Amino acid sequence: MLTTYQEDDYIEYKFSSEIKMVNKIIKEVRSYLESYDVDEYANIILILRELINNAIEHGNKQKKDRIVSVNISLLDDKRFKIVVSDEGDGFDYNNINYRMSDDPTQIRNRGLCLVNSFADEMEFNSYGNMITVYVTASESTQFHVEEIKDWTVIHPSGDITAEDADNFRYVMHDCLDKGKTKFRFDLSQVNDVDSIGLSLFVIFSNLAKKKSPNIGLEMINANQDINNLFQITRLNRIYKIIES
Amino acid sequence: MQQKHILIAEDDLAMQTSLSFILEDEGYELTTVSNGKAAFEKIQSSFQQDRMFDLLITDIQMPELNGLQLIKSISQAGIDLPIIVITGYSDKQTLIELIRLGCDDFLSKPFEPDDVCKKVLEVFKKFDKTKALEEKKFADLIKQNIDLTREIDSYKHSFSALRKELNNAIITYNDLICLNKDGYKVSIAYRIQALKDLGGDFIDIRDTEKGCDVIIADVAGHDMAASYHTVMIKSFFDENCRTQKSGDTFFQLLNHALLENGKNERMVTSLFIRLDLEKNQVSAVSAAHPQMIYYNSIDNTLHQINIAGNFLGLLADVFFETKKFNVHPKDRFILYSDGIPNAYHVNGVSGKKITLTSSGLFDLITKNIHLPIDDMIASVWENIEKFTHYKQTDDMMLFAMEIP
Repeated sequence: MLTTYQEDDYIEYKFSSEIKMVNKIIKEVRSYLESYDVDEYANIILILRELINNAIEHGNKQKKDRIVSVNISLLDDKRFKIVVSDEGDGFDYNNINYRMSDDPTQIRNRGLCLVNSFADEMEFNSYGNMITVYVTASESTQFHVEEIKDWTVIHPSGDITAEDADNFRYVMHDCLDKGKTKFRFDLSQVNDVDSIGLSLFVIFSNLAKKKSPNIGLEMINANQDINNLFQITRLNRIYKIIES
Repeated sequence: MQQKHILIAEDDLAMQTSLSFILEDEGYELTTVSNGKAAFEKIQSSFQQDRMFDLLITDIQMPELNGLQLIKSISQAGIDLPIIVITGYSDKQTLIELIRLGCDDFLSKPFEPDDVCKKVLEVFKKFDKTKALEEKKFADLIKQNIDLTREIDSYKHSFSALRKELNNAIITYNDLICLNKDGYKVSIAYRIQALKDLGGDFIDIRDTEKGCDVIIADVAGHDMAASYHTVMIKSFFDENCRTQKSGDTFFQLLNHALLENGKNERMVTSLFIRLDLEKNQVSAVSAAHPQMIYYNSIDNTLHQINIAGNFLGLLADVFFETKKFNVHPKDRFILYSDGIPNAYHVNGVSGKKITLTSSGLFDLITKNIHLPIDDMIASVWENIEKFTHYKQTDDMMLFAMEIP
């Protein structure tokens, strides 16, 4: 048994407590997310699976006539609020150990631990039979490259941190292999650059200089924090910082 | 070689007899029926008994089920059987239909005995060839499967061997980097949590003749490559404790060594403290490291000590400020890596990233400063964990020491 209710930016599923319903609901949610142009939603699906499984198995004790209710609301660009509730008696959520155990055989309580690590925030109602999870659909930073006059402009779509390193390195080598000599980084979408990100800028300038001594390196539209970072590391001696 | 069994479906008795004579002569086993329905029934039962006919020779005009319908039924039943159709000149239209339905060849009336034998042999040859090809394909797939399985097994083996090596490396690394909880001239308390098994955060303390030397260092990144630099920094520190060079000189040497290792650029921040317990003096040097927090027990105040200095491993021309000041018994120093002020959580409703920041850390320490040093660190650490919702995103290190 499954009923669906949908409004602008809100969808609600109510279904019976049967294990076979899990895959069905997941399938529905996937198409719902795709309609919002969300490509990378693996974390949302993982969270839903865990919560729905818990609701069916532990909350409603797999009694078919008990209902599980799932609603998903779009908060803003790629951010969702998910509420899963069951008709059970709840549980003691104050004693959950959220530290991810190094021991992979600890399956029992890993579910909520996993949900916590993928969610921005997690809340329970007083009984513990309704969980609210806030989650952002993750997106790794893309590096757009275009030629403007004789400058190669690289435009990262988001922060440059350790997880974006491989992407950045690939783009870096690609540009250098093409024999380009003038590079401009447009950091208007970048809020955060961590130490790995900074090292990559250093490595890039070193590689570029090895290829040809007359290299042009510029940085535009950087926010104040990144500007400061470049000053502290004296990367402003290597990259010409152009104030917007 | 097994005798081929041919089924003949022909209602004309004369045709039946002549075909039988010709084919029996060639040594084939024969079964004859006079209508399409009987033919189909025989085919079905032999299929079920797994004693399939090797060939069907059929007429088109037959009672019960004609040739066309018979072929259709065989195809629909999913039975794979070579078929030769006996055609007369009036059946030209049906020829096209027959080809479409998948009959293998024709015998056009009138025909000679030789034609029959030749045709039958041709069809058998073609059919056997196709069968052999299919069997070869199947055998190839099986072989590929075996090869793949073997490859997977060898990968599994390499992987577990590598994993074992990595685990050994982790144990060795931890033994090397590990810090005793006590036994130094000053009392210390600390918490270290690397993001992965091997990390880039490092802290060490060594007793010297006059007091002790302390170093905290953060290598950019948290992976195995960073751990190489960490070990190098440790050996330089050990050496420097022995030679007792100034903090500034030590950092200059370290910077040079890091730059020499050209291939793998890593930025390092670090704080070095030399404690002279005879004169109760501290000399501290910083390489762009998060500023340390100093607790003055005399006036009960907490300060952030700002010391200027460049990153290590980035540029050849570097400068480090040395700060000297007096200390008193019960004074404390708190050192940490940037994973702590950078610790954050995302607010569910607004989606905003909320960072601890150094002032957030400062507040936590202020709240806990009056606890014994172990409890202070434990409490601050727990608060940080709660703040991040138990989600770690960088190596974290918190260290405190108290002047005796």
